[in-house]
Amino acid sequence: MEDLDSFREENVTGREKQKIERHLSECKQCREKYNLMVDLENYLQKEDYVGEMFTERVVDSLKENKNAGRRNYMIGKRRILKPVFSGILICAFVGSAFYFGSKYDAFKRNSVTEPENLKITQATGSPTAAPARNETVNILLYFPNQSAEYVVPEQRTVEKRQGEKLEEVIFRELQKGSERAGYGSVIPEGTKLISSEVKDGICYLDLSKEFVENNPGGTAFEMVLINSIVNSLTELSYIEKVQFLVEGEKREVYTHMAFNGPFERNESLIRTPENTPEAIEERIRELGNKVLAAFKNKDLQSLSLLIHPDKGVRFSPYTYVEVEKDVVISAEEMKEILDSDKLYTWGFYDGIGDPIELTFAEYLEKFVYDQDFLNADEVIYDKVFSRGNTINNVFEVYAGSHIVEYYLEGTPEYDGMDWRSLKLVFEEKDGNWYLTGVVHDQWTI
Amino acid sequence: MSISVCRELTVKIRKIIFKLFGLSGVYIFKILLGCGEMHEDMAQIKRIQNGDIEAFGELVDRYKNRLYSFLVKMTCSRQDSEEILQEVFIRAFNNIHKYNDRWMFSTWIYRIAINTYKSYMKKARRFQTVPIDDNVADKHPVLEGNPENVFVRNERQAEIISLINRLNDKQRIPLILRYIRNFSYAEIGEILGISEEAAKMRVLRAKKTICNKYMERHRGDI
Repeated sequence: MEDLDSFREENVTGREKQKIERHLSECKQCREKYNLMVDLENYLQKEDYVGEMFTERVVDSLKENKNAGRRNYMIGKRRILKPVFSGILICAFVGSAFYFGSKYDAFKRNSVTEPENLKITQATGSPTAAPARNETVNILLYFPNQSAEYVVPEQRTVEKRQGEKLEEVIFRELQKGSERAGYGSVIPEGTKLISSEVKDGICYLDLSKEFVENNPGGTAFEMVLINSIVNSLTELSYIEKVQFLVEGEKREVYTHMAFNGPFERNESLIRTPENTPEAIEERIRELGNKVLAAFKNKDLQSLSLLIHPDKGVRFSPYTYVEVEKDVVISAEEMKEILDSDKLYTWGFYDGIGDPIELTFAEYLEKFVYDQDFLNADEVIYDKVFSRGNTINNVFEVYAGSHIVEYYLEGTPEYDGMDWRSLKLVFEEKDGNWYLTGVVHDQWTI
Repeated sequence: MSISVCRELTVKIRKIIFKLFGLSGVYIFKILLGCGEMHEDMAQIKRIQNGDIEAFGELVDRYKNRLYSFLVKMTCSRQDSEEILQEVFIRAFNNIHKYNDRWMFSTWIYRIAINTYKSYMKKARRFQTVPIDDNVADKHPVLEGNPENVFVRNERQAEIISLINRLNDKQRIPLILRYIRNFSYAEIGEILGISEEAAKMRVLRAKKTICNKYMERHRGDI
């Protein structure tokens, strides 16, 4: 292959070249490979042309954004101005505190009978009982998860100002962004709520033009953004649908999706914080490390707790999982297995084809934790990688489960062929994730 | 059309130089070519840094098709590529003050393109419903020649696309970079922030993976 490569790249001497040419005329396999390389290069070198007016579009959008660019410049300056501003603010605050403090004293002296605490906790969704003072309300907000695929509920107790509508409170809180780490705000920067009005269960939300202009774009993002707002607002019993208006006008499309009709609540996008893809990924990665540590320390008592209670765990020596033939060990069996002399047939050695007849303890050392996987070069989650020559069927066999792979790169000494990988397969049962498969992988012939 | 002719010409000149002066000659030729382009870029960038959007337009014109070709090979979707490309140029413009001539402009903008591609894919991952393989194969049809050959060649191309797509990004990106503009391994290394050796290794591994996969699929026919 290397020779073939240098030959293609014309880094060979005349004699080598002749030799390779001769070999190519004889060996069908190499010829096949060579032709594949030629076709591959031809495909990759093919030029594609972007649509007309592309440059104009870019330039126009930049010109439009020039003002936005200036604003960015201001933000740069703000770094210097910030301390100055905050200084002024503190002074103002202290000053006004003194002022109002003395006023409040006077007020107190005048009306001693006024009740001191006016805070009323009010349940979600009853806008009618509006006392004259600020009150606290419980609201349920939905924020996009990190990958912007779902929305996740977040309960909040907030102050409702006098005369403020609940929709406005919700919008204001949504703009603040989620309190959970890594979630952030979703409503495009600078968006102002011009007005909101509820008529026949439809909430007409009139937003400023920034809602469209500062949208970071992307169909997926748009979808969760809309649902974040709509689902939060439809938590209120008197709102069923939300109609967006931009500067008082209906828009045909937002940036991708149709935008002229009212939106209904979409339950299918709601996930609890524990069930977002990233939360599951985090759990699986954590469990994977626990399993590896148990393998490493031969701590099979702890391991047995991580094994699927009904299905046990299947061990595959090379990538290809043989559902019927591979050895499956139950959680119960695992506890005692380390001292057992029982020989299992785990599969067949690659190349020689002899059966792999080993005790569990031996197999563990040769085909499970045969490398320091806890310090893997790469830890890959739920992704298909075909590395060796063996077919990788792990995602077909273990459909619906999550897989974490630990990969150690090969060393240059062996031309990278001494790489190793270990895949751990986890399946869900009653809200918990359990180990159901251990797939070992290495270079095969 | 003129671009491909131009490139063919360059390749031919390279071959002649290689015959006359050997490998070092090719490198010198490449450097000379690169210098001309770099010089042109630099003058333009100075103007852009002073806020000249029209000058940026010229730069966009010069780079759009090569970046677009790259993105189409990466995403297998013209629509996505165009969206990403627009974002690339906007990012480039907004960050042009950060650019300095320590890098070649071409490596700098490719790096932006790769980052933009990655963040775009992250966002759009779950919403992709169109099987991407067929998508580009259809839009890239081979039209010349007799119909039977055309069919075979289109099939072949679809297979090649699917082989490339099966690679992980670590191998796929260097491979595509290697052939899209005949980037040298040193340049690929610079774009990806890895050594020249590592870049070479990854491209070679990518080819090996593709060959192995291909052989596996066609074990019966060969």
